[in-house]
Amino acid sequence: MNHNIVGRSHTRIRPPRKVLSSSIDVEKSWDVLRKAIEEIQQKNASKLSFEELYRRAYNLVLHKHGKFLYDRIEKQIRDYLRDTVRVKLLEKLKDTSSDDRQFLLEINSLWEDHLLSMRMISDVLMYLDRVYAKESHLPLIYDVGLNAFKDSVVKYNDHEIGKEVIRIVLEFLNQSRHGIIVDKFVIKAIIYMLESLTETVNIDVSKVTGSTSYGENYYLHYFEPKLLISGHEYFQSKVKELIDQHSGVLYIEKIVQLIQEEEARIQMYLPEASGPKMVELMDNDLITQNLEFIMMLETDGLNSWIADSNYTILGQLFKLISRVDSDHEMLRRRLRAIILSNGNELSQNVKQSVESTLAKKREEEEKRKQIAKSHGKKLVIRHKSGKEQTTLYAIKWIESFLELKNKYDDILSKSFEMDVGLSEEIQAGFSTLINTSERSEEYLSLFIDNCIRKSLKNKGSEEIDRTLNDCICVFRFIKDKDVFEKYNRNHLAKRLLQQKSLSNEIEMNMITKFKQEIGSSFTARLDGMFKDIKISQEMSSEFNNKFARQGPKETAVGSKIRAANNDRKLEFDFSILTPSFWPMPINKTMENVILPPELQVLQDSGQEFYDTKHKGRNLTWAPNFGTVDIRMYYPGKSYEVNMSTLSAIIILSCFNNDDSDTKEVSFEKILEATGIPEQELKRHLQSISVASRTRLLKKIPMSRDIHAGDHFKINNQFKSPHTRIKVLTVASASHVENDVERNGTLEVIRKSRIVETQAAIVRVMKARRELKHEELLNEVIKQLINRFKPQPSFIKEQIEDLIDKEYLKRDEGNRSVYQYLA
Amino acid sequence: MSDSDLEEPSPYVTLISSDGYTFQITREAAMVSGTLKGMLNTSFQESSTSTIKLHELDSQLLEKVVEYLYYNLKYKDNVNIPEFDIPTEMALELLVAADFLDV
Repeated sequence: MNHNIVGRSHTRIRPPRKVLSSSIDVEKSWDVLRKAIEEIQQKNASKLSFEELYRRAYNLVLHKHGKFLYDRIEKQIRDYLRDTVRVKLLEKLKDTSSDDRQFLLEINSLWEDHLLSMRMISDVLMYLDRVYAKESHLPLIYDVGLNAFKDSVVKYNDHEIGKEVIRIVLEFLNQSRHGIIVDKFVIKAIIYMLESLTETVNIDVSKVTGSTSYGENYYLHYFEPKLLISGHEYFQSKVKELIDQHSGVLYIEKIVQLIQEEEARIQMYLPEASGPKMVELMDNDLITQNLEFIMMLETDGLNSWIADSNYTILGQLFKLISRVDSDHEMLRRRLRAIILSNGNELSQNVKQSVESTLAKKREEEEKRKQIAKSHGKKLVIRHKSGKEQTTLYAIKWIESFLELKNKYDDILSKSFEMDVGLSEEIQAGFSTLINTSERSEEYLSLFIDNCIRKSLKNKGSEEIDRTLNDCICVFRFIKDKDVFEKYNRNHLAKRLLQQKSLSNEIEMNMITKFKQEIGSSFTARLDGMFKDIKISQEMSSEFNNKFARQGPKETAVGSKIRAANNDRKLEFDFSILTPSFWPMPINKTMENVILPPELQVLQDSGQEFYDTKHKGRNLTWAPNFGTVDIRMYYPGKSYEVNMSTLSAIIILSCFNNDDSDTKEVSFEKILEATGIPEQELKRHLQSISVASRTRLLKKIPMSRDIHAGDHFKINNQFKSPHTRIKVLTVASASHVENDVERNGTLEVIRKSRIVETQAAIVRVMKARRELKHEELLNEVIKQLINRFKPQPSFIKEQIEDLIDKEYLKRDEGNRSVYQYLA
Repeated sequence: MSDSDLEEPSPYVTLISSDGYTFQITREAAMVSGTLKGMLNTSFQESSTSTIKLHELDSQLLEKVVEYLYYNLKYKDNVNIPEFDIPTEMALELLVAADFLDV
């Protein structure tokens, strides 16, 4: 009652009744309380008067007998526990008719009785708690009771009972791990009891905080360490048992189940603070320590799960690893290794598959040969050239790469929950795979070439789109984009000139996708090439419409053309190419080629036609590209032969006279008559006089190579099952370059890199005027990254070169700063 | 404590002073005192009879105590509280009683 008592001096304050009265009979009061406690422990409290007991304790405390009372009570409780409760428990232990569970039940029931007694005792002794214990910073009576139970029962005589309890509980937990049904409730209750037995009541802390600190308890101090040891032993034995089976799938399935069960157990029995320790121990034993070993199992490990796309196991694996490491380091490490080894296998497999395909073909051909032989015929078989074989390899390689990539994408979405870190790891793995594989840029370009020429034929637009997207997906991984561009432009040029694309739509589609991926600077030249071809087609058809007309509307030029071709129709398709878009250089030597009249007329008319359309433009004719269709009359049969323009020039200039049937023409004569450069001439002669299926001419003497002094004549024995024949000089399909070509290409690329890098440096410096070395490097790399990744040392060389050329100079005060010189 | 709920339906308890006067007060009011609460909530004699004999308090004092129990109950959540009148001559006795009853 905290109310002001306003003193009124005229009234006398009555003294409280008993405060000053004579001292009380201490021993008698204690005796009453002692007996009451005994009664309470015998569960006879209802006969007792709370008020009386409270009053006696109150008076004892009031008369400064608090310590006396407190100590007596503590001793009373301790003695009771030691001499009654403990003895009962020991008897129970000795009792052979009682089992472990009954012992636990007994201790639990004694414990609960004790708690109930203590609550009542401490209620009655409220005043002692409130006044004496608090002021003396001693534990409350209730806690004295708990401590007493711990000291006089559980820990008494070197934990005689405590050790039994721990042993039994751990045994029960182990039994439950092995599927034996145990009494959950008693285990739970006992663990709860152990947790309630406070180990150290920190008096010092209580002084500060005003409340008792319950840090350590019997559970944490004695039980938990043993629990963890027993858990560790269990997990270890389980791991050993599973590892001995050498089955990763089994291991994963079993430990997923084991973890589930153990977590249920933890949830069920263990206190909140203890659960995570057990989980950590379990995760460490089952996952951190052993899972990587399991993943590395050869026959039934991560490698084979990925190979089999075993999404279930991979998903479980992912979840397990997520438990211990949100970065999945272990998984990333293994994935990296596996993707790289996949890369090696990929090359091996592709090689084998190409070889076996070819071997099969050869076998079939061999059979056919045998059959033909048995019929007395000789069958000449053209083997796939080494070039075609490597091209097949290139296409297969990209296909396999895409398959592999798709496989990992599926795994990522179906098993790895689209985890960002793992996705990055996979991307990085594939990037390394493709950039360490030689010629991947060329392979990709060949793959695209093959798609647009053949494999996308009759495919739905969805499938086409998917394939093109796949191409972009590979393209994305490629670091040296300029190398790819080089090849792609070559291949596109061939497709466009030979009209080998399945459709312009697909070509445009592909170009658009490149544009979306890295911008229009990459595709500007591709667009230009495409436009050239389109305009050329329109122009050619206009030309042909105009001059192929017969009858009254026939033009002068038209009749001239017809006259040149023995009064037969002659069509002319030409392609006007802008040199800077196209990969092939202008070949000046071709200007010396002497055209036969038929072709000369076409070229002149074409030139004239073009000049009327575009005045002042310079055309350079390139007869080394393009083809001519010629109808050739052989004894008994005529053939329509498609051949390169240069081959046609040879035939038309030298073998199209009346006496051509028998006349022999020397190599030198042909050289003189056609003006074709010697190397080119040899190549084309070879294709029409040596190649087995298109031996239009007969070479004397007969040998593989063309030499000066060789003679040629029309091959009157020429026979072919087909009426339409194609002479293959310009290889019809794009192929993998040989090493010499490859080095040439790389050299071209190296040069263009120098130009591009220097251009980038100049651009940056022009804009910034003055820049530090590091910043300049960063800017240049940023500008070039879509083309290739320049090495700093390479950029540095180019900077040096530009300083020599006086585009830049070093700052005199600070050598690491460059200045732009206008 | 479902047992005691059944045994103690009465919302009233009886307090008996040392000089034999009885005071019937609501259980709620009695609960204001920690000591009385303890007596009524544990399974001692008092809880089964709902009767508490207070040897320490005479009727005069107990009456004032009861008055305070109700006063406390009524205003415990309020901010503006009227002053509780304490007769000066009783002040010390009340102080002791308050200590005894834990109010």
